[in-house]
Amino acid sequence: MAKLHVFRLLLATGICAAVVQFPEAAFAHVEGEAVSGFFSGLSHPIGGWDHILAMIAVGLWGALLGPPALWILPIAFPIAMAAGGMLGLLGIPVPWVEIGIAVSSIVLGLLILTNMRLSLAVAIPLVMIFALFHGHAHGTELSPRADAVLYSLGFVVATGLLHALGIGVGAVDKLPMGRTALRALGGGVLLGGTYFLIGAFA
Amino acid sequence: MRRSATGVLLAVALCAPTPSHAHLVNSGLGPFYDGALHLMLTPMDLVGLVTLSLFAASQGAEAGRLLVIVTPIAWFLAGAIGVHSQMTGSFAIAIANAGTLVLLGGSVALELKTSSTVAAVAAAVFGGLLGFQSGVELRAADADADWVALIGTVAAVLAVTVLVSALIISYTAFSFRVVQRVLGSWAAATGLLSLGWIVGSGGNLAG
Repeated sequence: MAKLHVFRLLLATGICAAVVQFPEAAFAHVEGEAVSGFFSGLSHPIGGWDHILAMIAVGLWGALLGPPALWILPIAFPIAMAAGGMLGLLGIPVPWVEIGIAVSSIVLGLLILTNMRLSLAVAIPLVMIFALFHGHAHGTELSPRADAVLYSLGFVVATGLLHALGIGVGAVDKLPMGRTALRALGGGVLLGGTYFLIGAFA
Repeated sequence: MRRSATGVLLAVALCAPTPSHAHLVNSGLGPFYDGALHLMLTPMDLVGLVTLSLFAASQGAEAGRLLVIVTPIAWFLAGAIGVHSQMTGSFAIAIANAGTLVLLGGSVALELKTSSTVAAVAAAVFGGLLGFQSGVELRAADADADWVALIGTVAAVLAVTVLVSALIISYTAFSFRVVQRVLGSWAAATGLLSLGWIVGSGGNLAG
């Protein structure tokens, strides 16, 4: 039964990954302006590994923590990210954005690697602060020429799919040696975050 | 498994790109269907309506029934005003619609519970707001937009509210409630980003 559950989650993960990858394949040579409509919004969060890593890590950590963090973190993240995006769109500066983005991967990677089980009262604000940095970075890059609602919707859906991808991969936790594999992935996120932090200071 | 696959297919279908139409879309079936298609091809109206339906139906069956009655009526009355107004678009309405997404989507994400009377008032106010915007858009898309097109839009509004509320009320599984909350958070996030976009651009948007 548990194996069937894991199979379903892994199947859903594969579909999420395919959907997230789809827009780039469809618009690789068609769209010159890049920022317009749903698929541009969908492809924006997957435009940088620093964002991808952190968003998948949120799902991984949620999977490690289990319910209710499993679904509350992916609910909290998009709202805080959009708030950050709104600040970016309004031209309101947020300090140390690039450092904040890199630190988000480092901290999340460390939490997964050490299997640290923080309470929801700490986990939610922590993830929301990280989301604010990611959202602000995206917000400052957006063009007012695009269809606001469709672009925003695509952007948010892509973020949700990346979380779902993390949760799906996190399903390996239920398999033998799964916890070790998951913690190793946390180590990978930590390394990636360190690389981005060095890049932010360079 | 089959239900999961249907859900995934539905999600992919919803993600499919929708072309934007500078003019009222011509279905080839007359103004009624042109009006009905207009709602389906206008993202802000459709997302706003689905979010409103999610909010009201998640308050229970009574609120869901009121939603199905109140929203199309409010949409029609405000839409008629919009069609006959001389407005071509409003910064204030765009802000209000984005704010609607934040408020209602946030309420769904937080699973806030309220009385069915409050849900009905929300359906009237936000349905009216969306309806007015839709009426203005109908006129902007086609200067000859008439009552038939508006009635077509309202029929589509009725269909959407019935489908969404029926789905929300009939599926009570915990996992489905989680899906509702996630959709609410996505709607709120979309509203927040749209707000920043509208205010940041001074209302001068492409969409």
